[in-house]
Amino acid sequence: MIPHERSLVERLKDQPFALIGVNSDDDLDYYRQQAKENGVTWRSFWNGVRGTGGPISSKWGVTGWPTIYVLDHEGVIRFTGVRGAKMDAAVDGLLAEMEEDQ
Amino acid sequence: MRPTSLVAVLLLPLAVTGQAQTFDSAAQAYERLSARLRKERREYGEARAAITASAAYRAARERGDRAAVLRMLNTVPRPDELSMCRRAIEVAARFGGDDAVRLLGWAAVHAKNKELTVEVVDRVEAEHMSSPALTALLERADVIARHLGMERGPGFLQRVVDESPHDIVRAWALYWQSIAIKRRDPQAAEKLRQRAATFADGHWLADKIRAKQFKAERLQVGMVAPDIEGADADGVAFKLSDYRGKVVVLDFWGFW
Repeated sequence: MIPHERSLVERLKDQPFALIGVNSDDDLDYYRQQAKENGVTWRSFWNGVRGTGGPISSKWGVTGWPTIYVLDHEGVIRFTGVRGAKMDAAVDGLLAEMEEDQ
Repeated sequence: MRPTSLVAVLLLPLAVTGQAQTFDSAAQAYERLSARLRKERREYGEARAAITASAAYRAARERGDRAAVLRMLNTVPRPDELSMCRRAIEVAARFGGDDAVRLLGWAAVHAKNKELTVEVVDRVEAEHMSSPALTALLERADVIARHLGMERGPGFLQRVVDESPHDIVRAWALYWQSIAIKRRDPQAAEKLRQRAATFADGHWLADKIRAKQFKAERLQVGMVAPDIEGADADGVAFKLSDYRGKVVVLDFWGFW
Protein backbone atom coordinates (compact mmCIF):
# COMPACT_ATOMS: atom_id res chain seq x y z
CA MET A 1 0.00 0.00 0.00
CA ILE A 2 2.89 2.36 0.62
CA PRO A 3 4.05 2.30 -3.03
CA HIS A 4 0.51 3.12 -4.14
CA GLU A 5 0.20 6.02 -1.77
CA ARG A 6 3.64 7.27 -2.69
CA SER A 7 2.63 7.42 -6.34
CA LEU A 8 -0.69 9.13 -5.51
CA VAL A 9 1.15 11.83 -3.57
CA GLU A 10 3.68 12.18 -6.37
CA ARG A 11 1.02 12.40 -9.10
CA LEU A 12 -1.00 15.05 -7.23
CA LYS A 13 1.88 17.10 -5.86
CA ASP A 14 0.72 20.26 -7.67
CA GLN A 15 -2.95 19.79 -6.77
CA PRO A 16 -4.88 20.98 -3.72
CA PHE A 17 -4.48 17.56 -2.17
CA ALA A 18 -2.86 16.14 0.96
CA LEU A 19 -2.37 12.64 2.25
CA ILE A 20 -2.38 12.84 6.03
CA GLY A 21 -1.48 9.77 8.02
CA VAL A 22 -2.03 8.60 11.54
CA ASN A 23 1.06 6.51 12.00
CA SER A 24 0.48 3.73 14.50
CA ASP A 25 4.00 2.34 14.93
CA ASP A 26 4.80 2.16 18.64
CA ASP A 27 8.46 3.08 18.11
CA LEU A 28 8.99 6.59 16.78
CA ASP A 29 12.61 5.92 15.74
CA TYR A 30 11.54 2.86 13.77
CA TYR A 31 8.83 4.88 12.01
CA ARG A 32 11.32 7.63 11.12
CA GLN A 33 13.87 5.17 9.83
CA GLN A 34 11.35 3.19 7.78
CA ALA A 35 9.80 6.38 6.39
CA LYS A 36 13.20 7.44 5.12
CA GLU A 37 13.94 4.04 3.57
CA ASN A 38 10.54 3.76 1.92
CA GLY A 39 10.29 7.31 0.58
CA VAL A 40 7.31 8.22 2.76
CA THR A 41 7.09 11.97 2.31
CA TRP A 42 3.61 12.61 3.64
CA ARG A 43 2.94 13.99 7.05
CA SER A 44 1.43 11.86 9.78
CA PHE A 45 0.20 12.34 13.29
CA TRP A 46 2.11 9.91 15.44
CA ASN A 47 -0.33 7.80 17.45
CA GLY A 48 2.10 7.41 20.38
CA VAL A 49 3.93 4.65 22.20
CA ARG A 50 0.82 2.48 22.47
CA GLY A 51 0.93 1.99 18.71
CA THR A 52 -2.38 0.79 17.32
CA GLY A 53 -3.91 1.31 20.79
CA GLY A 54 -2.92 4.98 20.83
CA PRO A 55 -5.23 7.93 21.52
CA ILE A 56 -6.21 8.99 17.98
CA SER A 57 -7.12 5.54 16.65
CA SER A 58 -8.83 4.72 19.95
CA LYS A 59 -11.03 7.80 19.73
CA TRP A 60 -11.90 7.10 16.09
CA GLY A 61 -12.65 3.48 16.91
CA VAL A 62 -10.16 2.17 14.36
CA THR A 63 -9.91 -1.61 14.53
CA GLY A 64 -8.34 -2.44 11.16
CA TRP A 65 -5.28 -1.12 9.37
CA PRO A 66 -5.15 0.63 7.05
CA THR A 67 -8.34 2.60 7.67
CA ILE A 68 -9.06 5.29 5.11
CA TYR A 69 -11.28 8.37 5.16
CA VAL A 70 -11.46 10.68 2.15
CA LEU A 71 -12.48 14.26 2.92
CA ASP A 72 -13.46 16.96 0.47
CA HIS A 73 -11.98 20.46 0.55
CA GLU A 74 -14.58 21.51 3.13
CA GLY A 75 -13.55 18.77 5.50
CA VAL A 76 -16.64 16.62 4.88
CA ILE A 77 -16.17 12.84 4.99
CA ARG A 78 -17.09 11.66 1.48
CA PHE A 79 -15.68 8.14 1.27
CA THR A 80 -14.43 5.54 3.71
CA GLY A 81 -12.45 2.36 3.21
CA VAL A 82 -11.42 3.07 -0.39
CA ARG A 83 -8.13 1.49 -1.44
CA GLY A 84 -6.04 1.33 -4.61
CA ALA A 85 -7.79 2.46 -7.79
CA LYS A 86 -10.94 3.33 -5.84
CA MET A 87 -8.97 5.73 -3.67
CA ASP A 88 -7.55 7.42 -6.76
CA ALA A 89 -10.98 7.71 -8.36
CA ALA A 90 -12.48 9.18 -5.17
CA VAL A 91 -9.74 11.79 -4.91
CA ASP A 92 -9.85 12.68 -8.62
CA GLY A 93 -13.62 13.07 -8.42
CA LEU A 94 -13.39 15.41 -5.44
CA LEU A 95 -10.66 17.47 -7.10
CA ALA A 96 -12.86 17.83 -10.22
CA GLU A 97 -15.84 18.78 -8.07
CA MET A 98 -13.76 21.40 -6.29
CA GLU A 99 -12.75 22.92 -9.63
CA GLU A 100 -16.38 23.11 -10.76
CA ASP A 101 -17.32 24.95 -7.57
CA GLN A 102 -14.85 27.70 -8.26
CA MET B 1 20.97 -31.83 35.69
CA ARG B 2 24.54 -32.10 37.01
CA PRO B 3 25.44 -29.90 40.01
CA THR B 4 27.81 -27.73 37.98
CA SER B 5 25.20 -26.80 35.41
CA LEU B 6 22.74 -26.06 38.23
CA VAL B 7 25.23 -23.62 39.71
CA ALA B 8 25.69 -22.04 36.30
CA VAL B 9 21.95 -21.52 35.95
CA LEU B 10 21.70 -19.99 39.41
CA LEU B 11 24.62 -17.67 38.77
CA LEU B 12 23.38 -16.51 35.40
CA PRO B 13 21.09 -13.69 36.64
CA LEU B 14 23.89 -12.46 38.91
CA ALA B 15 26.30 -12.37 36.02
CA VAL B 16 23.82 -10.40 33.95
CA THR B 17 23.15 -7.82 36.64
CA GLY B 18 26.84 -7.68 37.51
CA GLN B 19 27.63 -6.50 34.00
CA ALA B 20 24.78 -4.03 33.81
CA GLN B 21 25.28 -0.32 34.22
CA THR B 22 24.31 1.36 37.47
CA PHE B 23 21.66 4.04 37.50
CA ASP B 24 21.44 7.34 39.37
CA SER B 25 17.67 7.34 39.58
CA ALA B 26 14.63 5.26 38.72
CA ALA B 27 13.69 7.81 36.04
CA GLN B 28 17.09 7.42 34.41
CA ALA B 29 16.84 3.64 34.58
CA TYR B 30 13.43 3.82 32.91
CA GLU B 31 14.73 5.99 30.07
CA ARG B 32 17.81 3.87 29.46
CA LEU B 33 16.25 0.45 29.80
CA SER B 34 13.29 1.29 27.59
CA ALA B 35 15.55 2.89 24.97
CA ARG B 36 17.80 -0.17 25.05
CA LEU B 37 14.89 -2.53 24.55
CA ARG B 38 13.52 -0.47 21.65
CA LYS B 39 16.95 -0.49 20.04
CA GLU B 40 17.43 -4.22 20.51
CA ARG B 41 13.99 -4.92 19.08
CA ARG B 42 14.74 -2.79 16.03
CA GLU B 43 18.05 -4.56 15.48
CA TYR B 44 16.38 -7.93 15.91
CA GLY B 45 13.79 -7.00 13.28
CA GLU B 46 16.45 -5.79 10.86
CA ALA B 47 18.64 -8.86 11.32
CA ARG B 48 15.69 -11.17 10.69
CA ALA B 49 14.63 -9.14 7.65
CA ALA B 50 18.16 -9.48 6.26
CA ILE B 51 17.97 -13.24 6.65
CA THR B 52 14.52 -13.62 5.12
CA ALA B 53 15.69 -11.56 2.14
CA SER B 54 18.73 -13.78 1.55
CA ALA B 55 18.93 -16.24 -1.34
CA ALA B 56 19.83 -19.12 0.99
CA TYR B 57 16.72 -18.51 3.07
CA ARG B 58 14.45 -18.26 0.06
CA ALA B 59 15.90 -21.45 -1.38
CA ALA B 60 15.29 -23.29 1.90
CA ARG B 61 11.70 -22.00 1.93
CA GLU B 62 11.17 -23.12 -1.64
CA ARG B 63 12.35 -26.64 -1.03
CA GLY B 64 10.24 -26.73 2.15
CA ASP B 65 13.22 -27.30 4.45
CA ARG B 66 11.70 -26.18 7.73
CA ALA B 67 14.70 -27.22 9.78
CA ALA B 68 17.03 -25.04 7.70
CA VAL B 69 14.59 -22.12 7.84
CA LEU B 70 14.42 -22.31 11.62
CA ARG B 71 18.17 -22.78 11.94
CA MET B 72 18.78 -19.60 9.95
CA LEU B 73 16.21 -17.58 11.88
CA ASN B 74 17.56 -18.84 15.19
CA THR B 75 21.00 -17.43 14.48
CA VAL B 76 19.56 -14.01 15.41
CA PRO B 77 19.52 -13.66 19.18
CA ARG B 78 16.27 -12.36 20.59
CA PRO B 79 16.37 -9.24 22.77
CA ASP B 80 16.84 -10.39 26.35
CA GLU B 81 13.68 -8.76 27.68
CA LEU B 82 13.61 -10.92 30.77
CA SER B 83 16.92 -9.80 32.22
CA MET B 84 16.16 -6.17 31.41
CA CYS B 85 12.87 -6.49 33.27
CA ARG B 86 14.57 -8.22 36.18
CA ARG B 87 17.02 -5.33 36.32
CA ALA B 88 14.13 -2.83 36.26
CA ILE B 89 12.52 -4.53 39.25
CA GLU B 90 15.78 -4.42 41.24
CA VAL B 91 16.32 -0.76 40.49
CA ALA B 92 12.71 0.02 41.41
CA ALA B 93 13.23 -1.61 44.80
CA ARG B 94 16.34 0.49 45.40
CA PHE B 95 14.78 3.88 44.66
CA GLY B 96 11.07 3.67 45.47
CA GLY B 97 8.64 6.49 44.61
CA ASP B 98 6.48 7.09 41.55
CA ASP B 99 9.37 6.67 39.10
CA ALA B 100 9.91 3.23 40.56
CA VAL B 101 6.26 2.43 39.91
CA ARG B 102 6.78 3.43 36.29
CA LEU B 103 9.73 1.03 36.09
CA LEU B 104 7.70 -1.76 37.67
CA GLY B 105 4.92 -1.18 35.17
CA TRP B 106 7.37 -1.29 32.29
CA ALA B 107 8.82 -4.54 33.61
CA ALA B 108 5.40 -6.13 34.01
CA VAL B 109 4.36 -5.26 30.47
CA HIS B 110 7.54 -6.48 28.81
CA ALA B 111 8.44 -9.51 30.93
CA LYS B 112 5.61 -11.63 29.49
CA ASN B 113 6.49 -14.01 32.26
CA LYS B 114 4.36 -15.13 35.16
CA GLU B 115 7.02 -15.17 37.87
CA LEU B 116 8.19 -11.62 37.19
CA THR B 117 4.66 -10.29 36.77
CA VAL B 118 3.70 -11.77 40.15
CA GLU B 119 6.78 -10.16 41.67
CA VAL B 120 5.77 -6.75 40.30
CA VAL B 121 2.21 -7.09 41.54
CA ASP B 122 3.43 -8.20 44.98
CA ARG B 123 5.54 -5.04 45.21
CA VAL B 124 2.72 -2.84 43.98
CA GLU B 125 0.24 -4.32 46.42
CA ALA B 126 2.70 -3.99 49.31
CA GLU B 127 3.91 -0.45 48.67
CA HIS B 128 2.36 1.45 45.78
CA MET B 129 -1.43 1.11 45.80
CA SER B 130 -1.95 4.86 46.18
CA SER B 131 0.58 5.96 43.53
CA PRO B 132 -0.79 8.02 40.61
CA ALA B 133 1.95 6.43 38.48
CA LEU B 134 -0.05 3.21 38.53
CA THR B 135 -1.92 4.66 35.53
CA ALA B 136 0.75 3.42 33.13
CA LEU B 137 0.67 -0.05 34.64
CA LEU B 138 -3.13 -0.23 34.64
CA GLU B 139 -3.30 0.95 31.02
CA ARG B 140 -1.74 -2.37 30.12
CA ALA B 141 -3.49 -4.41 32.78
CA ASP B 142 -4.84 -6.70 30.04
CA VAL B 143 -1.30 -8.00 29.45
CA ILE B 144 -0.54 -8.06 33.15
CA ALA B 145 -3.73 -9.86 34.19
CA ARG B 146 -3.15 -12.44 31.45
CA HIS B 147 0.25 -13.31 32.88
CA LEU B 148 -1.00 -13.23 36.45
CA GLY B 149 -3.59 -15.87 35.65
CA MET B 150 -7.01 -16.35 37.19
CA GLU B 151 -5.69 -16.80 40.72
CA ARG B 152 -4.18 -13.31 40.90
CA GLY B 153 -5.41 -11.21 37.95
CA PRO B 154 -9.05 -10.52 38.90
CA GLY B 155 -8.13 -9.96 42.56
CA PHE B 156 -5.51 -7.40 41.65
CA LEU B 157 -7.90 -5.43 39.44
CA GLN B 158 -10.54 -5.46 42.18
CA ARG B 159 -8.05 -4.22 44.77
CA VAL B 160 -7.15 -1.32 42.50
CA VAL B 161 -10.82 -0.44 42.05
CA ASP B 162 -11.36 -0.57 45.82
CA GLU B 163 -8.18 1.13 47.00
CA SER B 164 -6.73 3.53 44.46
CA PRO B 165 -7.43 7.18 45.30
CA HIS B 166 -6.98 8.16 41.64
CA ASP B 167 -9.98 8.13 39.32
CA ILE B 168 -8.03 7.37 36.16
CA VAL B 169 -6.27 4.40 37.77
CA ARG B 170 -9.61 3.00 38.93
CA ALA B 171 -11.09 3.71 35.50
CA TRP B 172 -8.50 1.52 33.79
CA ALA B 173 -9.06 -1.31 36.27
CA LEU B 174 -12.84 -1.10 35.69
CA TYR B 175 -12.31 -1.03 31.94
CA TRP B 176 -10.25 -4.24 31.92
CA GLN B 177 -12.72 -5.88 34.27
CA SER B 178 -15.45 -5.10 31.77
CA ILE B 179 -13.44 -6.51 28.87
CA ALA B 180 -12.74 -9.68 30.85
CA ILE B 181 -16.44 -10.47 31.41
CA LYS B 182 -17.81 -9.09 28.13
CA ARG B 183 -18.65 -12.47 26.63
CA ARG B 184 -19.89 -14.11 29.79
CA ASP B 185 -22.06 -11.26 31.03
CA PRO B 186 -22.54 -8.43 28.53
CA GLN B 187 -24.91 -6.49 30.79
CA ALA B 188 -22.58 -6.42 33.78
CA ALA B 189 -19.72 -5.57 31.39
CA GLU B 190 -21.65 -2.59 30.05
CA LYS B 191 -22.22 -1.31 33.59
CA LEU B 192 -18.51 -1.54 34.35
CA ARG B 193 -17.74 0.23 31.08
CA GLN B 194 -20.03 3.10 31.92
CA ARG B 195 -18.51 3.38 35.41
CA ALA B 196 -15.06 3.35 33.82
CA ALA B 197 -16.11 6.12 31.41
CA THR B 198 -17.31 8.28 34.32
CA PHE B 199 -14.04 7.86 36.19
CA ALA B 200 -12.04 8.47 33.00
CA ASP B 201 -13.72 11.79 32.22
CA GLY B 202 -11.35 14.12 30.33
CA HIS B 203 -8.84 11.32 29.66
CA TRP B 204 -8.40 9.48 26.37
CA LEU B 205 -9.73 6.29 27.94
CA ALA B 206 -13.15 7.98 27.98
CA ASP B 207 -12.77 8.56 24.20
CA LYS B 208 -11.77 4.93 23.75
CA ILE B 209 -14.84 3.71 25.64
CA ARG B 210 -17.13 5.99 23.64
CA ALA B 211 -15.54 5.21 20.27
CA LYS B 212 -18.47 3.22 18.91
CA GLN B 213 -20.87 6.06 19.62
CA PHE B 214 -18.36 8.60 18.26
CA LYS B 215 -18.11 6.62 15.05
CA ALA B 216 -21.88 6.48 14.65
CA GLU B 217 -22.46 10.13 15.48
CA ARG B 218 -19.42 11.87 14.03
CA LEU B 219 -17.70 9.70 11.43
CA GLN B 220 -20.36 8.94 8.84
CA VAL B 221 -20.16 9.92 5.18
CA GLY B 222 -21.58 13.43 4.79
CA MET B 223 -20.42 14.63 8.21
CA VAL B 224 -17.65 17.17 8.73
CA ALA B 225 -14.68 15.17 10.02
CA PRO B 226 -13.87 15.89 13.67
CA ASP B 227 -10.59 17.72 14.06
CA ILE B 228 -7.44 15.87 15.06
CA GLU B 229 -4.76 17.67 17.02
CA GLY B 230 -1.41 16.00 17.41
CA ALA B 231 2.24 16.05 16.42
CA ASP B 232 4.16 14.67 13.47
CA ALA B 233 7.31 12.50 13.47
CA ASP B 234 9.44 15.56 14.25
CA GLY B 235 7.24 16.52 17.19
CA VAL B 236 5.74 19.50 15.34
CA ALA B 237 2.13 20.12 16.39
CA PHE B 238 -0.52 20.34 13.68
CA LYS B 239 -4.21 19.85 13.09
CA LEU B 240 -6.27 18.02 10.52
CA SER B 241 -8.21 21.25 9.96
CA ASP B 242 -4.97 22.94 8.83
CA TYR B 243 -5.68 21.17 5.52
CA ARG B 244 -9.14 22.64 4.96
CA GLY B 245 -9.30 23.81 1.35
CA LYS B 246 -7.60 20.65 0.12
CA VAL B 247 -8.92 17.22 -0.66
CA VAL B 248 -7.55 14.98 2.08
CA VAL B 249 -6.94 11.26 2.33
CA LEU B 250 -6.73 10.44 6.03
CA ASP B 251 -4.89 7.17 6.38
CA PHE B 252 -4.43 5.20 9.61
CA TRP B 253 -1.32 3.20 8.81
CA GLY B 254 1.98 1.83 10.10
CA PHE B 255 5.03 -0.16 9.07
CA TRP B 256 5.08 -2.67 11.92
